[in-house]
Amino acid sequence: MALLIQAPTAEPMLPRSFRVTDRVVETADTFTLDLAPSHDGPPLPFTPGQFTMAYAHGVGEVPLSITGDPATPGILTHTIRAVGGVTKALAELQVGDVVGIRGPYGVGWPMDRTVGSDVLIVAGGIGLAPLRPAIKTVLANRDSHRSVSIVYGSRTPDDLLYQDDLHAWKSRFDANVQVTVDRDAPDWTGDVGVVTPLINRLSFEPDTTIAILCGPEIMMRVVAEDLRSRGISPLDIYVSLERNMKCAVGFCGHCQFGSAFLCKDGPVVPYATVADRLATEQL
Amino acid sequence: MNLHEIRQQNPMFSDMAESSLSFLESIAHDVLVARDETVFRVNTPADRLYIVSNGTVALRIAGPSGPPVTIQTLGEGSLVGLSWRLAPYRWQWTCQAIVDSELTTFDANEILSACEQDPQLDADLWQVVARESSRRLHNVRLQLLDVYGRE
Repeated sequence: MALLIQAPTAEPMLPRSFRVTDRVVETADTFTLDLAPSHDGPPLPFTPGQFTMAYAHGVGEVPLSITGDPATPGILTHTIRAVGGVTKALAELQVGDVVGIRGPYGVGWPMDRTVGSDVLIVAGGIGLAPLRPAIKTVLANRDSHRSVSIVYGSRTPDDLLYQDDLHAWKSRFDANVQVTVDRDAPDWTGDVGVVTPLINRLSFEPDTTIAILCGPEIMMRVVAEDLRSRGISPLDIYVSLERNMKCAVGFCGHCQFGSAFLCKDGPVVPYATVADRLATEQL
Repeated sequence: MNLHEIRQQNPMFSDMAESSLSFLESIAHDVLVARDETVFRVNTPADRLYIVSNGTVALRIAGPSGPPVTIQTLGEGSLVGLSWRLAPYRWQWTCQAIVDSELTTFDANEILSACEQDPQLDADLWQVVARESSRRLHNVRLQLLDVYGRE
């Protein structure tokens, strides 16, 4: 911990020290950490869709999407699914504990292009997390957009993230929010099935729509092709891709996807640029 | 919502001939179903075709024990009920409204009789049923993949 520096640095591989200020359990295996710079260090401004590299001391480093509100950069929020060694170590952190952070990195959602457009946001599973900053930004600037639609698919009702946010978004009259689950549950009274049929319920003009998608790649490809069949240009559909990010600054090549390094050329890319590769097995 | 509006909303009906659409409109009736009301029940005669004009219905199945399980919900513009088109002409699922809903309904016997006289209508309706069956098969395959559990 003593090796961590307390101020921004031009050295991209050195983490800064952040302290856990809040911890929320989202689902059985997913939790959200609010982090603040240690010792009153400067905040970490970010744009929706960017990610950081988070270092669990003595365990390792993982890329994490930033999931908080860009309007409050003093709080760095990450929603994390505990699936590997590092994320399980992060899951053990409590308020006051310290974590190393590098970043933010990458190309985020095209928020400038959403202005004046119909905005269609489609999330699957934990894919809602990287979209949350974009949703908060769009809804905070609602008058700058045409229609706003949010479609979210999850495995079961118990796996739905941000239930308070979902309730608040659904209660708005200026956004169309549709939620579905793959598996029914006894107390679930909402939709069951995949996300694509819910697109029938949305109102948007294909020529003026910007669609942003995040979720399992199979889901994103199916949704993107559905949107393309409805007349939305693949250049106006954006997806967030994940690969094995290590350096996060385009040096190591672990996250190479075709000719792109997703850590610096992505993670958000226009569907038109990756459509063929997304249909390629084992890439 | 009339069928022409549904055609605009649902690509499934986009290739249907004007004459076929007009015939369907001539025999259409609107019905209101309250939340939790059963539209049709599994293993009973499938003698109607439905389109959801407003609201949402669920396709459910139940075993001898335990509550019914919903496999799919169908919203505005969706075709409900394919079993009227193929033998044994019995519903394979139970359909229940999950919110107060409005359905447009068509007498399947009337449709099948008309299809015998009108090859265009017959072809159009096979097309609709085939497209919808293919789409649902595709969607259920995606559900079976459990993609959200593998992220």
